[in-house]
Parts: sequence; C-alpha cells; structure tokens
Amino acid sequence: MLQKKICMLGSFAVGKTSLVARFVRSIYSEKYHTTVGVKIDKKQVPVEDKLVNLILWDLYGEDEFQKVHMSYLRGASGYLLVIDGTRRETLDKALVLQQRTEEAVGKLPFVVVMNKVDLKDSWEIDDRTIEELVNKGWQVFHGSAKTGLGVEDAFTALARQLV
Amino acid sequence: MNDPSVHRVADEVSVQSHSLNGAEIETPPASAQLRELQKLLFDTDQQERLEQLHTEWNDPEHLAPRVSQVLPDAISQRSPEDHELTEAMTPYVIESIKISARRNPEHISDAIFPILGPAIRKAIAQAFNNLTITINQTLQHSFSVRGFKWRLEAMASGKSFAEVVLYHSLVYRVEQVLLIHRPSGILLLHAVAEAVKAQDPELVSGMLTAIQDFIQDSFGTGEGNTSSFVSDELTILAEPGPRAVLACVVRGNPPPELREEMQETIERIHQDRGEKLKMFEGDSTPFEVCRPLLEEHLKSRYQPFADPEKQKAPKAMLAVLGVLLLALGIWGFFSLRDRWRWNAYLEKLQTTPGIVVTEQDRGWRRYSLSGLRDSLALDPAKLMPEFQLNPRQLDARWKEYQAPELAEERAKKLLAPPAGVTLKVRDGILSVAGLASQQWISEAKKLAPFIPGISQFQWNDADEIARLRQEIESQSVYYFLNENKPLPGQEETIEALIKRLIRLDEIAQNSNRTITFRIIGHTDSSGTKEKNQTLSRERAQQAKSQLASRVAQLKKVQLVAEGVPDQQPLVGNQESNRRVTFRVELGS
Repeated sequence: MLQKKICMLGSFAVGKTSLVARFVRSIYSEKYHTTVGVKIDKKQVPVEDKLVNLILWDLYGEDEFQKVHMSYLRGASGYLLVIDGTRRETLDKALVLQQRTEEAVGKLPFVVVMNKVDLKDSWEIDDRTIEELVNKGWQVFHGSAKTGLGVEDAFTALARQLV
Repeated sequence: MNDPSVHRVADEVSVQSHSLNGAEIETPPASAQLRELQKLLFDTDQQERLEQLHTEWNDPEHLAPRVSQVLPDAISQRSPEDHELTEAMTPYVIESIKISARRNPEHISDAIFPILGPAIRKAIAQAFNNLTITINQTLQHSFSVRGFKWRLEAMASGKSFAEVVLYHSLVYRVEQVLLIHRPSGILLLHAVAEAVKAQDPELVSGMLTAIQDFIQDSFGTGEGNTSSFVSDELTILAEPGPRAVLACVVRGNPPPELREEMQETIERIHQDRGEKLKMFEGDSTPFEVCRPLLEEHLKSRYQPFADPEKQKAPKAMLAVLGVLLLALGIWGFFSLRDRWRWNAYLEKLQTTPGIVVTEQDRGWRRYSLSGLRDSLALDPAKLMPEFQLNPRQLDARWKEYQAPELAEERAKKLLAPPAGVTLKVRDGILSVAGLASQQWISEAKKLAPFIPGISQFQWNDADEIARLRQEIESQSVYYFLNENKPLPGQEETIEALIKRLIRLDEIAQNSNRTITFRIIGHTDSSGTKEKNQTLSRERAQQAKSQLASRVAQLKKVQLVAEGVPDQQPLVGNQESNRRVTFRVELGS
C-alpha cells in the first residue's frame, strides 16, 4: 500500500486536531503536542482503485511563544493548511507558514481547510478573501469539527494530488 | 610518414595508453612506438582481427559461448571477496523460485523433499526441548522462595505465572525491528517477535522519527548519530543510514554486539536497496526482500538455570508446603464436617415445634443462634449432642413466644387432666375425652379459651357413653326360681352398675341430654305365661328399686322397669334365663 507523509499546519487553536479526530486512527494523546510538538495519526483514503495510507503529522499550532519545528516537514509529500474562519489573524499566520514551508521543503501539494464553518455568522474572513486564495490556485475547503463537514473531501483532494 | 599530424596522433595515442593504464610503465623508444602504430594502422591482418572481435562483442550469439567459458571461474573468484554478488543475485533467485513454484510446484516440492523431513524433525525436537526447559524452569521456580514472590507478583499484576518467570529470567529480547525511511519517517518494513503485541507500527515509526528530529533540534546532536531511548523495561536502539534508519525495540538489556549487527544490516540494506531508497515515493514493497535481514535480529536470551546446590532450598520449601497443604486439608475436612453437622442441626431445629430460628452463624469453634422459642419447646442446646456438636460452644439468644403448635402441651400443663382424660387440639379446638369429674370439666371449659392457640372447648362424650353402655348392657343380675329375689353374691355387679349409672347421669348433665336406663326382667320357660309375665315385671321392679335406693338422685337418667317373660331366652340352662338385664337408650 502506498504511504504518504502529510503535515497539518495552522495557527494555535485553529482546531486542527479536533477537525480530524473523528476520521483518523490514533494511538497518541494530545500531550505529545505540548511536549514533542507533533502527534502522529493515520488515515486511509481511497484514490481511484487504490488505498493510500496518509501518515498524518499534526504539528503543534504556531503562536508567538512556540514555532513549528520545521524539521518535522522533512520528507512530507503534502500538507493541510488549517485556518480558523472566526479569526482573521490565523489566515495571515497560515500565509506565513505556507511560505516558510515552501522555503524549507520546496513546493508541495497542499489544501486549505477553513475551519469552524458551523460558526459562519461570526467569521472574520469574507468570501472575497477566500476567492483570492482560490484564484491563486489554492484548493480551499470549508470544514467543521462539529459536523465533520469537508474533512474527507480535503483528504481525498490532497491524496489525489499525491498519487 | 613525414606528415607532422601523424606524429601528433602517435603522441596522443601514447599519452592515452599511458593514462589508461594508470601505472608507471617503461616507455619504449619512439621508433619502436612508430612501428607499432604503423602495424596497427596498416596491418590488414590486425585490422580484420579487430573487426572480428568487434562483431563478436556486439553479437550476443558469439559472445555468450565465450562468457560462459569464464563465468563459473569469475563467480568462484568473486564470492570469497564479499557478499555483493550474493546480494545482487538474491532477488533474482527468490523471484525465479517464486515463478517456478507458481508454474509447477512439484519441482520445488521434489527438490526440497529430502531436506523437509529432517528439518521438521529437528524443529519439533527443538520445540520439545524448549518446552521441557520452560516446564523445568517454571517447576523449579514454583517451589522456591523467589517463586512464591513471583507468584504473588503474578496475582497482583494479573499476568500468568509463566509470563512473570520468563520476564524475570529474561536477559534481553528484541521484540520489534523497524526499517524506517529517514526523511519521511514512513515505515518500510516491520518485523515482530512471536507473541509480542505491537502498537500500530506505522504510527510508532513516525513518532520515533519525530522524537529523533526533536532531539536533534533541541540539543543540536549531529544528524546521522546513533541514538537510543531507554525506559524501565524497554530500550529502543536506532541505527541510522543515509536514507533509512533501523530501529530495534529491546526488552531487557541489549547486548553490545546488537549495535554492531544493526550497523551491518543497515549498511547491507543501503548497498542492496540504495537506489530504491533514493527513489522512495511511498511504496514499501521493494523492501520486502530485506525481511530476513530484519528477522535475524529478533533474538532473545534468558538467564541460565540455578546450580543444583541452590536446589536444596526448594526441597525444604517443598516439605513446608507439604505440611501446609496437609494442615490445610485437615482443617478443610473438619471445617466441612462441622458445617454438615451444623446444617443438619439447623434443619432439625426448623422442624422442632416452638422454635423459630431467625439468625444463625458459624464461626471458628463458635455457633450463634437467635430467634423465638416457646418455653415448652425442646431446649436447642440439648439437641446438639445428637449432631456431635458441643452445646458449650453455642451462644443462643431467644425471645419468648407462645407457639400455636404447642397449645396442646400448654393445655395439658394448665388444665392438669385426670388420668384417663385425653386432650387434643386441632384448628384451635380443644377436644377432651375420657373420664373426668363434672367439676374438672366445668373448670376446663372456663379456662380453655384463655390458653394461646385454643379458641374453643369441646367435650367429647360419645366414646365414654359407648363404653359405659357396652359395660352396662353386658351385665345381668340372676334370681331364685319363681322369686323376685336376686341370688346371693351379686353385690359386686350391682355396685358396678350403680357407678356406671351415676357416671351416665353426669355425662347426660354435661351434654344436657336425657338417657333412659331400661331395666328388663326375664323368666325361664317353665310356668304359665301369665305367671312369667308378672314375675318378670316384679324382678325388674325389684332391680330398679335396689338401684334407685343406692343412687341419691338421678337428674337426667330415667329408670324404666319392664318385663319380657321368656321372649328373649338364652340358649343354655333355665337358671341363666331367670335374670334382669339393662339397656341404655340415648335421648336427644
């Protein structure tokens, strides 16, 4: 079976871990985030007639006190960029992270998940901003940890780019 | 040959051959070189030979026979030097065996048949040997002090005793071997020892890589250094190569040579699969061929057995254990026997009238009982010897109560019936029968309703009346011939009749009914009918007067005298028909 390393990136508390919790096989607790700075889960995604094993490196969210260990990106085949729709600054941080990732490991396939779509009324990111991202050629998905919306789609879209 | 360009060529050729050989050789004189060049360029024989060689080299048909001549020698010369040839050939040999097995399995089975039997026999013998060792070890530890300690540990931890013994005698065991793609942390191959439960190795592989990265980032250790992680029971050794890491999960203390062996393995994997590692895109199938290399590391070592000197302790321990077991057996037997006796005793108590057991307990040489007890009931302590139980060990607490089933005993005690009087209680009714004085009956009648368990008093006189009647009616008083005078010596009969007559009157009074006491005069068959009629009546009258004179006053019994001359003759002599008989008739 094909295996691919995927990283999950995003600002602190954008809800990366919660977003995928229901969809992945996990043996490690969240305490690894605050200690080692990464938690590794597994997700199988069918692409065409094959199963792809995504080894998901959920990197601890970046904030002003802690930086993402860029060495964790090494060997990744792609990444998920998670943004909290209710916090504008998480988009800015994601743009920075995306750029730093590209500098560190080169151009890799990635998808963007705009999280917390269930709280759309209190979003600070408008549709025009999202459209700008799409126009840059980015694949943007709306996701919700609460409803599970968009998660499978985002994984499948990313896996398709990898095989 | 004076063309200067020819000289230049000749020089270049000379330089080329010089550098190709790469070694210092003696340079021949220039004229000899020229001659050689001339020969090469213009000698037609040489030219033809070169062309033939060129053709043969490019034509596999010609080349193959020549290579086949040198191939066996080439292989045999290469093999002793290193394993490169073997490793290069391995995948092809494996693949050809697979193909051959797929196409016609018979070839393979025929080929391996001669070795299969001995191999199986050897494996079975080895397995039995291991089993015997394990059993010996387990038995030995079972009866040692340490064994007891481990048994306690097994009980506390919920593991089996065998597991604990193995765990303690374990020096080391390589439980898992992981081959990890270095940059991505993706698992390439995983080998796990038998009976070891491994967590999801793909996640473990990732996390192990992350931790190594973390250590490198945090403490600046150089990339490519060997590393190890140690916990109480496990050690993880990581041996990095340029593109892959070999990690061993070891329980116990890993031996130093393990590290060296791991180095060799990771080097061989890089040598053999270097290109595949370089081009790795997530497909780990090409690394499956390396599985035997990984499995070689799944070794274990256990502590040797204790020397026989130390086995004296187990014998002593065995003796102590034997005594303990014997004591336990004896105690168990007595305890069980005591329990049976106690249960039988309790069963008996449950069926004893006037005792209700509400609580019972059996401790070590002590019994306790509590409940209700009628003072008229049997003493429970006195019942104990019957069941081989010691009454002194009984601690009983009884509350007094009056049991309905003991109403009869209570009535007997309270009413003190005269001899011959029987008392019976049924459904709360006290039935009294037998000979009792009028006074006693009246008192009993008054007292009976106050006795617990008795609601009604019933005087049962039918039996007595029947008895009196039978006794009275069987008596006769005999008379002189032609006289109404009784024969002498009948005083006793008359006395008995009087007593019964008085009793009849008492019974009639108790039950408030009237009784007719008929006195019947008889005669023999001699004499006239009229005379006999008169005589019979006179005899009856005489008897009535005699009885009446002896009884103060009959209240409920009426005496009636009548004559039946010879109407009821008795078979026998005439004398026996000169008599008076009696009949009791019950009125309403």
